[in-house]
Amino acid sequence: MKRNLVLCCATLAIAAGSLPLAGWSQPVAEDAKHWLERMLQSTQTLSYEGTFIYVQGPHIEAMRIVNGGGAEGKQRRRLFSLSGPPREVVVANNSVICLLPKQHATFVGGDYPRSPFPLSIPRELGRLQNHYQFEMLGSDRVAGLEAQVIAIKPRDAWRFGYRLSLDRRNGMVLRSALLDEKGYPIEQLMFTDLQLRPHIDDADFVSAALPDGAAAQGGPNPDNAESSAGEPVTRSAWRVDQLPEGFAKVSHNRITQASGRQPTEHLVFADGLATISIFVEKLNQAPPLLQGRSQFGSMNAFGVVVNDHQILVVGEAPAATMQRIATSIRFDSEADKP
Amino acid sequence: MADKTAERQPAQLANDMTMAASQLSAMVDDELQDMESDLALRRLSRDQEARDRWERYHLISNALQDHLPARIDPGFAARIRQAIETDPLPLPVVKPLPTWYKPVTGFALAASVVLMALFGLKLTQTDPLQPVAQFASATPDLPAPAPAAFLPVQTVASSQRADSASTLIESRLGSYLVNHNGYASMNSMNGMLPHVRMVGYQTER
Repeated sequence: MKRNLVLCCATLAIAAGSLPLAGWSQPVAEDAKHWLERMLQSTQTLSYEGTFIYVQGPHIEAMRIVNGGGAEGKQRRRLFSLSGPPREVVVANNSVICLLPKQHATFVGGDYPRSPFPLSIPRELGRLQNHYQFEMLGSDRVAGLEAQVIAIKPRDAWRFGYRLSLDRRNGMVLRSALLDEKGYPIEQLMFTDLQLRPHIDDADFVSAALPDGAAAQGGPNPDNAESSAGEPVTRSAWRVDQLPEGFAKVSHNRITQASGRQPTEHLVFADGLATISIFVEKLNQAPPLLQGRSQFGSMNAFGVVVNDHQILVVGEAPAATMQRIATSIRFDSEADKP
Repeated sequence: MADKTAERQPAQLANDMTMAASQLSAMVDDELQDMESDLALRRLSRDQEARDRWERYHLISNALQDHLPARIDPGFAARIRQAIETDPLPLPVVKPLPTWYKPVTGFALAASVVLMALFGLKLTQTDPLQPVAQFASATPDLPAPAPAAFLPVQTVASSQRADSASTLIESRLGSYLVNHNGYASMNSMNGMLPHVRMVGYQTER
């Protein structure tokens, strides 16, 4: 009987996947929420190595990840491309290094602000439900592992949805799809191989392409770490009037570059799932980077010029969201004065 | 090569010569496949006898088709060759701005333009011989930065101004991308995805 009930639920869940947003019931949403809680936990605690494919529009790539879970600030990650030009991201001990062996350039970010996930479980997940609907969509098998499929569907047109296949053992994301307004996948990721590891050696986080253990300690070069860090902005002349509901400002920094360029203001807004960045840079009569709509891989962008400043809005949300935000930004000259 | 030829049997050598001659003849008539043309051209570039034969075949062909002028200057080809040798190499063509430098066309980043400043922090360099990809200024009123230190990603010749300007634009967009994804990794449910996006964009599109 119980088995029949489960089967029935699964069938319903699969059927619901093709139904409009409105028709879903509360208990299954709670189950989905429970799965998402497990997912959040696994994101922070699990240590694993794996290979996955990443599909974005017509492009496909293979990548490998080594992830070391742990307490805040102790998490480590090394992610590198297996196809195409070698590229790599190493995250460790409050720093991120993006490596491009072709240019022999390493990009080190010190003071990496660590709040791996701002949604405190489960309270914030509840808040997320104001703007997204959680659904159970049945079973999947990914990398030979049994998975539970969860849908996160936006309740309005300002955000994208996700379909996630979570490892039944621990909730880890084995497969994910970012879905556009019509439900078509914009970007997909799927593990083809995954090994959970109780312990991962430090050496496995070291990039072979990095010289002399630059990443071994995971820390940035101490001489450079602080020198041009983005500083928090407390007073800004820029106002965003038309922020879609649910997005809140999570950071506002002024990025000062060493090379004499104008400082760039970077505002970050998030709704718990989608993140939108606004970059504001003085043009000084230079030609603008972008005016109008554009696309940046799976992200949309919209550029406007206001008061001789390039405003660039970028994020993994619909183009209309970017446009609405970009066109509502205004310069309040009074606000900037002390 | 000469030694190898000397070791060959006279019959085989003659056979090779005939082959090469018929190949050249076909090439004069524009009847060679691409791959064969390639081989024939390589042979022409290293073999004076083949070049002489090439000239003779053209002469015969032109005579048969009544394309010859009233007088033939036998030193004409040699003078052209000499002129080409002494002529300076053409300057590299200045590339136009990439297609994404227009609204609504997408920011396709070239493979050579990758991740720039991260979280607004200073970039460090792992190879002192290579220029560091910095957030260099594109504004004309600032003093021009020293190319070795500031031109981003690739060493760009000074004659390629348009190219370096577009590289600068790409580097700015690249730094925006990295900064955005850096923060996104902390503010979204699946912090892995933004890092995947950082790695995933850089292929030529």
